[in-house]
Amino acid sequence: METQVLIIGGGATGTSIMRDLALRGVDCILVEQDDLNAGASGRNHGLLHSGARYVSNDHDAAVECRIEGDILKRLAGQTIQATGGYFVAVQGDDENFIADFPGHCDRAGISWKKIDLNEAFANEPAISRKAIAVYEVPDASIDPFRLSLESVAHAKALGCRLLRRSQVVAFKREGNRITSTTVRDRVTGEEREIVADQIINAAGAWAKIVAGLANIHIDMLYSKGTLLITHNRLAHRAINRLRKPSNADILMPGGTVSIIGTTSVKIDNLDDVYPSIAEVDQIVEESSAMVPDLATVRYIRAYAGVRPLVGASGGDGRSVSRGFALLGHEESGLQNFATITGGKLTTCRLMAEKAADLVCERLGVTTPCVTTSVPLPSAYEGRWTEPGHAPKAWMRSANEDDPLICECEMVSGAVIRNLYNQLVKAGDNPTFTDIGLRSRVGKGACQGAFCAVRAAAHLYQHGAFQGRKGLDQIVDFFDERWGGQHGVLWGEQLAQAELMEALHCGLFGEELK
Amino acid sequence: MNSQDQLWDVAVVGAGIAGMSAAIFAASKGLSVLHIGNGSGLVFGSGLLDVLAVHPVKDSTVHEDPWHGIELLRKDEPSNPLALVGPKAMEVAVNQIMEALGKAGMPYEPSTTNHFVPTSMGTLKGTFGVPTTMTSGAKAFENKWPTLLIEIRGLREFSAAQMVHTMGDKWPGLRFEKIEFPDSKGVFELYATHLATALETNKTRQAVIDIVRPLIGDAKAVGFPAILGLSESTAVHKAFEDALGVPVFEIPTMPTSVPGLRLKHSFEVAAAAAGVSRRVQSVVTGVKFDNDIATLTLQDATGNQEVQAKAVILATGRFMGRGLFADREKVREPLLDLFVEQPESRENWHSRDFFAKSGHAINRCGLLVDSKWRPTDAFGAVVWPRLYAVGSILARQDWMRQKSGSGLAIGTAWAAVSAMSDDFGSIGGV
Amino acid sequence: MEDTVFNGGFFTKALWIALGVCCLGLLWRLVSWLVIKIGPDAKEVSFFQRLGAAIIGGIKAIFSKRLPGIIGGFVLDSLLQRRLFKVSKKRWLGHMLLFYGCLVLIVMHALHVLLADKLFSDYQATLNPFLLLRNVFGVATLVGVVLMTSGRKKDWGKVRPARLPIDALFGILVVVIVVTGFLLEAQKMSSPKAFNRMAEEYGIDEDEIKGLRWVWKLDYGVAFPDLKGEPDPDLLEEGRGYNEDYCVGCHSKPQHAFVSYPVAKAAGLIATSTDAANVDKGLLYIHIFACFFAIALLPFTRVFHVVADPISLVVRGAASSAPLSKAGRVNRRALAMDACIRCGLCDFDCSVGPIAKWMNNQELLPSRKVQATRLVASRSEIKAGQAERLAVGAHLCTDCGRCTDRCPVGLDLADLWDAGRGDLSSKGFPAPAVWVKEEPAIAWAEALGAELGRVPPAGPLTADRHQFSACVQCQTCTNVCPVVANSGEDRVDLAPQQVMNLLRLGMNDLALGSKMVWDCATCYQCQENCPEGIRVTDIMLELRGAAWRQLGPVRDRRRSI
Repeated sequence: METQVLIIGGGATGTSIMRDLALRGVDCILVEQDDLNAGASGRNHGLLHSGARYVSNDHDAAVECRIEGDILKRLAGQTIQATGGYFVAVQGDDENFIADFPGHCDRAGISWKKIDLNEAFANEPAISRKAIAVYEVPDASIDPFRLSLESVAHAKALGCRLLRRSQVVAFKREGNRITSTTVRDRVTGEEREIVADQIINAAGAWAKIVAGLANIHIDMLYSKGTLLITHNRLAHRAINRLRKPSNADILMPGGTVSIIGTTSVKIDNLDDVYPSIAEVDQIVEESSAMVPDLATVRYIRAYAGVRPLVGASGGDGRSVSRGFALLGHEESGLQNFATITGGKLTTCRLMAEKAADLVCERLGVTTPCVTTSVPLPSAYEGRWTEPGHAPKAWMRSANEDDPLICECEMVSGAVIRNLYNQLVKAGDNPTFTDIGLRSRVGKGACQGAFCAVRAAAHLYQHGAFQGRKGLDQIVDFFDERWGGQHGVLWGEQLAQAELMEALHCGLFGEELK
Repeated sequence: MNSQDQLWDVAVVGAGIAGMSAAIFAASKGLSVLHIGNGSGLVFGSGLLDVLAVHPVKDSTVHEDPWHGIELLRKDEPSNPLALVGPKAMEVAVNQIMEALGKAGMPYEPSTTNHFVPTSMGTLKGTFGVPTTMTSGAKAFENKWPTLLIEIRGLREFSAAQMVHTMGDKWPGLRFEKIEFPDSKGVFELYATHLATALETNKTRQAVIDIVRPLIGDAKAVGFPAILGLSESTAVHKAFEDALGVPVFEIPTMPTSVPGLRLKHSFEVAAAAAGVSRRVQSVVTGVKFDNDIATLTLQDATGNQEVQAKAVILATGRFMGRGLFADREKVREPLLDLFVEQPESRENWHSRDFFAKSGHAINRCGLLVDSKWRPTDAFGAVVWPRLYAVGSILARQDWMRQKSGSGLAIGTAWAAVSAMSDDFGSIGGV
Repeated sequence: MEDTVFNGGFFTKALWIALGVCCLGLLWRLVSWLVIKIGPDAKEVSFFQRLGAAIIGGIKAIFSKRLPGIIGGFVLDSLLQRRLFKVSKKRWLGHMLLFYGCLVLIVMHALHVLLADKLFSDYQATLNPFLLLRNVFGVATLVGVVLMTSGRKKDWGKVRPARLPIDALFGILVVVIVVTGFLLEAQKMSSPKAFNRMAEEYGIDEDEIKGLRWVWKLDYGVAFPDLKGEPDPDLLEEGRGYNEDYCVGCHSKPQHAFVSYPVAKAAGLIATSTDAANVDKGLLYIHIFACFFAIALLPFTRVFHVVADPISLVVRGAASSAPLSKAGRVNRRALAMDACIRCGLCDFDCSVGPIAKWMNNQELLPSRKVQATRLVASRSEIKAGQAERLAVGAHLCTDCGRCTDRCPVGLDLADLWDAGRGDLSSKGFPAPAVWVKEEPAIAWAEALGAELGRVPPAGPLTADRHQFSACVQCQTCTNVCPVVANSGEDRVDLAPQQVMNLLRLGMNDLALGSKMVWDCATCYQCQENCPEGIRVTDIMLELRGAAWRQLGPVRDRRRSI
């Protein structure tokens, strides 16, 4: 395969680069070893920062967030809910920090408003009555899956290509250029060569590994962060802790649920990243100071992502700047390899612009970046990740022969089949987990226990599944869902998990293969 | 009759298989029984009654002879409640319940071994008690009969295609046909129970028979998802067999399935026939013991009431049944705060692999009991001399992996009621 | 004096006018029973069909086997007022006294020429027992009026039955007639002028009259101004003798007029001046004209019930054995408009009556709904605000039927409520179960979104997230739901577990406008079978209330655009 630019890594950064380059008329191929947003881009709060979180310790990052947040709100509005955000301090929090906050915001140009406590409690009853100060800022909620899916859809519409489940395993270097890249299909084991003029390593936490394949060393820290999803939505706005950034500081609304996190645990490698029970307990205990319900609410999922932090080798990772790093690797002698890593979701567009600028410069392409003016078009495959969208769409089309398959999130059979068929058409081998990523299937209370059975039956009924493949895929789907349940199995969620095991092991005996 | 006014011989708490069985056994022994329950996990049942099918769990060894399996279990896990019940008592107990259910309108095929029933998922389930409406399925698979499976448009949880695709290699001659259920045009979500009751009317049943008959071809058996009647399953099943001229069988599907509802209803009828008094939609919120009397506080939609009994059988189930409850640190027994044997920390409760071979350690947590099935504390001391615990709330078993749920429930209910009535006999007063 | 009434002249003309008005009024009312259209099915029957039904119905009733039962019912309900007796002995007594008091006075006194004279050959107004009875029944009538009009609030408690202003008028007339009757009698008793007239008529000569005058002063209370002190005993003796021979035959001792006589004694003090002022004439005019007025007014006030109610009761008796035809039912509704006496018994144990005060809407009460039915059936426009109140009153009815059982005059209230609801529907005010279904749930949700932004929870159960967090989406509730089972092609828009799930997701707005909420038969199967103990049916009921509360304003706003 040949192309102008090979992009490695299908997270928010990689997909934004793909779109940016496509809009500049540059042909590119994006290879992703798993599926879109498999790394940190799929394991975060979904917070579109107003920047207020960084005003006290990282002024530049704060300003960047403000500017980029405004651009995304303007051009990718369908992925964003302008929920607004509160910063809440409770008894015992640092009074100086509270007092300095407005000034810091002003300096970064971030609008803030002090909120009377009673008004705050009325607007957000979940806030602890021990709160002593509340400020409102323009935080928002963003759906990173929709963002990436629609960026890719846009780029594909302009002729670029996406290869999923394709892992870079080797670079062929000749002189000061990488002349070809070997990519292995992780499903079939097949390998293929891709020849590209330029290569961007946007593999997030895996960037170090990828660079290592080109004999380039990147100084990188891995910091794991765990987040929890609650069964129901506790607040309408983002609720941040008004103190020096620490663990369990942010509660985000996620449509019909809430997301609370996070932690920061230094890890040594990327094998087996999972939310530990200790982290889960820490989040529950610490966050309830700000929102007491978090001590008693039902949690349905825990997940962990890894932040790549470039350029430091000590501390817990939080004190390293979250600014991103664009590495041209000239010192290594290579002229067509660059790495972009670090950063945060909110600034993905900016990161893509910088990376694309560098690559275009090297290519001799002079078309400027247009991602500050061209809106992100809405695409079918991007719509279904939004919680609450599927039930409304189903109710609108009430007269069509379209039963619900995932009852918890009310996703209908047509949606599942369409997403599946789209992947088939793209030459992909779709798995049921892929559908889970592109929709809300299995993300509800039952975490797939019931709906997977109906989904399998549905896809077999419609001839999409053949042989044992369907059954195997459903089993894989459970495994994937289970990984996210393990840390939060107490209370009602434990009862639900017991029901799931009773059904799939007790009745169907799926473990007996 | 006001249940408060009477001193009951025994109060049974919990409306699952264990509670229902204990109530029936106790009443059959002539004791006055008050059965208290709220909702019931019985509706999640498939209709199949498991005794023991897998041991050891870590090797996934499947047994055709459950009694042999229990014997092995006695050696390997002597304190597993199934082992403590023992194969002989288990056989008597399960057969007695199967007989009672049969009289209540849900007959089971008399059996001495496990059978392997094809499920809607495409797997085979080894089980002991098979309703007569399902037995031909096991036979068809065992003998590899060419078999026709019927798929119904709109019944979302069942795909005959799935069964053919996944079992076809082991079951050549298995094929499927898709049909439209009568009067279902324009309805895209059909529910199994509604189809089941519709098949109890002659007109609908005849219409389905007429649709299916020409599709049989050379098939030696016809399989349907479990919709052959709700309370008249025997009659509906027979009508199909007579009309189609071949054995007909139901396939167990995921809950909430019709056989689950049948099971609940049949247990209720059997309990009434045995003379059990029932308080439905009631939750026991507290129990006090003094000397010879237990006072239970019941809460229902009308308020609180107290009832008194000489003995109490706790059959409240595990997490689903709310017999056990876990916070982030510990598993507790919420009604009486009984001692729960459990892994030391939540880290060890579950494996990170859902289908882990050895199962999840938390599934073996539960109440410890003495030789008379009475819950003890951590040191073996009985909590109250006439408090008994039965069913899945007990420790040292993994019913979901051992495929022993019904056997565990019925066997321990039998054993506990025997021990209890012995006690009653010795202190006099039955 | 009474004779002059029939002597041609002014009184006679006035009487004929009153009677004429009365007859025309009666005719108009009778016709109205065949003409007034209440209920959407009323337009399906013609006047002639209704006329036919009325006539044939009447004939059928007379010749039916049920006639004894009908007559028996008539006696018990109409003549003996048993339903009223069951509810309030005091009011029963009042009605009996008023009714029978009036009846006897009319038969025995007002129409004595036509009736009493013929029945009792020795009838004389001034003779016992008639003298006594007239006073007795006069008093009875007044006591009846007092009993019926006093203590209403205490009798009915929190409900306030509907009354019309004109109802008071007839009561006032009755009181006026009776009181003027007593006064007139008293005046006549004490009036020397009256005595003189009688003496002249009967040609009593000067000598005889002297003693007689004393007798009549002392024994009969005539206030002769010139007779003072004590009479001569012999004269008195003579007078008494004369009296015995010639007067007593027609004049009983006045003490039997136990009301008029004491009044006469008191009036005697001013007898001369009243005589001079022709008070008796004035009283007579008032008395007579009050009667004529009452006659004319009869078809137009609730006293018309003396005609309409017996008919209504007969109809009820007949309908209980053989249901009426459509035309017959429509007739019966029109009849009900006149037969209703606004007694308020129907309010007495209306099952939704107690909340009328809480909702600040008296239109819930049956007694008011009867009046409203007529208004709604008419072709006139009803203002939206008023129609809304009427609609609430009509649609909140639980159809328990207690009002129909209570009604002492045989109205088929249940049918009336049905007809009223039908009329409200065709005027654009159907029950929530109907208007909610006019739009799909998603449209309501979108409209609500525009209105409210965030939708408040429907009630305490829906606000309690512990209710829903246990829901495992097992679909047991839907599986046992007979409504879903039998809806066939006219399928429910959301199955019960889907409604519960929307609430669980916090998407109350999508559940609020759902048709399922109204299709629910509240059979409680779902709630009883839920393995998690979720109160599915109770939540559906909360949603109904919330749907009406929250979607109602949305609908109103739409209509006013």
